[in-house]
Amino acid sequence: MNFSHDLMTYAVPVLTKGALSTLKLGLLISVASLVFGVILSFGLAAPNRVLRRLSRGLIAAMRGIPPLILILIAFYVLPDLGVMLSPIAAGCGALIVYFSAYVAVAVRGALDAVPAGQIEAALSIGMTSRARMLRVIVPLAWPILLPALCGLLIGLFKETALLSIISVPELTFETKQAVARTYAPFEIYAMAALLYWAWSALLETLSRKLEAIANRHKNPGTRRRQGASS
Amino acid sequence: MTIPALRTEALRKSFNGVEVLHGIDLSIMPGETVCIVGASGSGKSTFLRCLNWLSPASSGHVYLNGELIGVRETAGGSVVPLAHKQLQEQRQRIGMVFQSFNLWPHRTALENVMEGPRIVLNQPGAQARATAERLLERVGLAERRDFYPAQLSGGQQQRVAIARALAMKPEVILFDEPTSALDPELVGEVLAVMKELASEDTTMVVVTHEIGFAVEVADRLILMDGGQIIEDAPPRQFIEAPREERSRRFLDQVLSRGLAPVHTIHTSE
Repeated sequence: MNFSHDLMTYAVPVLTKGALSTLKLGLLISVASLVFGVILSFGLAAPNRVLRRLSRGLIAAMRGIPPLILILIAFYVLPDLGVMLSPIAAGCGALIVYFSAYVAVAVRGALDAVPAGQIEAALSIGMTSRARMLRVIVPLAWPILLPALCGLLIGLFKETALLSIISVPELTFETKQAVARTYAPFEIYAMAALLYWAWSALLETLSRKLEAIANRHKNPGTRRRQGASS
Repeated sequence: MTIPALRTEALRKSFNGVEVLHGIDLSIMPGETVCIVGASGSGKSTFLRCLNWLSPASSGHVYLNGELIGVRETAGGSVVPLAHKQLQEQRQRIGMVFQSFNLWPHRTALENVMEGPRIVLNQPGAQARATAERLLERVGLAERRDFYPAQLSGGQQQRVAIARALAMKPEVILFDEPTSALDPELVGEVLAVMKELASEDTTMVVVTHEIGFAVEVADRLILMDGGQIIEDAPPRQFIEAPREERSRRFLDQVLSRGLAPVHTIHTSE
């Protein structure tokens, strides 16, 4: 059997496809987790006690259950309750719920970390709650949130590997298929590892750029505007 | 008869069942500068924070130019909290300067001052900018307008904060220990700005430890102790002939440290 021939013609396209699929799934789960996480973070501070308890309960559960178990429940248990989901829907749904909880905790923490004096200053000039949120709280919470959030999202990309267990055709699933077909575990797993690493490195770079932008007012010496000396 | 710019009536405040303000009655007339002094824990900052309802009073009333603050009277005669939106409209009319400045760190000096006119009063950008530039010039910081708070000294930050409060054209400005967080050599520049405001008949309530400033600038000097007003008199009278024993003791304590004059101070950088 010609290893290099098989690797080039079979494994590389399959792994590329898997890597793109992982990217797509990762993005989908990230965006959805952000949306639900932000909603859940407001649930954590809701005036309604029932809502607050529900949010806290959901988060506690998500922090205590391994994501793999959630995926298996979504795929194998929900059909018994009459909810039939495709592997992609079940898997993504489970990971979205799982990561939403972590996003919610991070968002809540960042919002609560905005110093009270900043909010009092906004109150004292008469800002409405909406202006306070948009002009003061969010811009100040954002740089606090960003490192935690980026860490979470990078972790999320790697956790999509779990979806292979229910045959979602992402990078790990395709890798296993390719290994079974080519009997070249070393080369193929190495390629898969490098591909995961590439995505993580890309996200890491991106997050560092975002953090630099979010924190620019903290070391403005490098970005003094025109007119500062006028 | 003139209506007081600010008036409190039997103002009480409790935290977790412990009363820290025991029914304060005070009237501040338009153009008056009133300085409140007193030991830490005397309730003076709490009182100030009740005036713009940052800390809602437990009972009693605050009136701003005759208008009830923070609450409204229903047709039935009971008093209920004001809707947040209306309260925020009232707060536009009461400026506040904080001990720790509380400038927004993500905005430049100019943006900090513009924020109120732009966002709260919905003024066009050019107009808000012109107002802000004029006010920064007035506090001696025209050249620092594009600096972020982190690039400014404490004294400069506090002067920006004063400009930010002025930008709303408030009917009264509350100062909560405006120089307490400053290095000693920076206190003067802030007091000089406040002195100028006082001389222009801005209505001001100043909680301060700067007894020298208070004596020189205040129309009335108030001593608070244990959540009550002990003495309320023109500064000369307060110093020379206080009615209360506690005032005398307070004066002995602070005067032993010496009166720092403010008139030698200059605003320029």
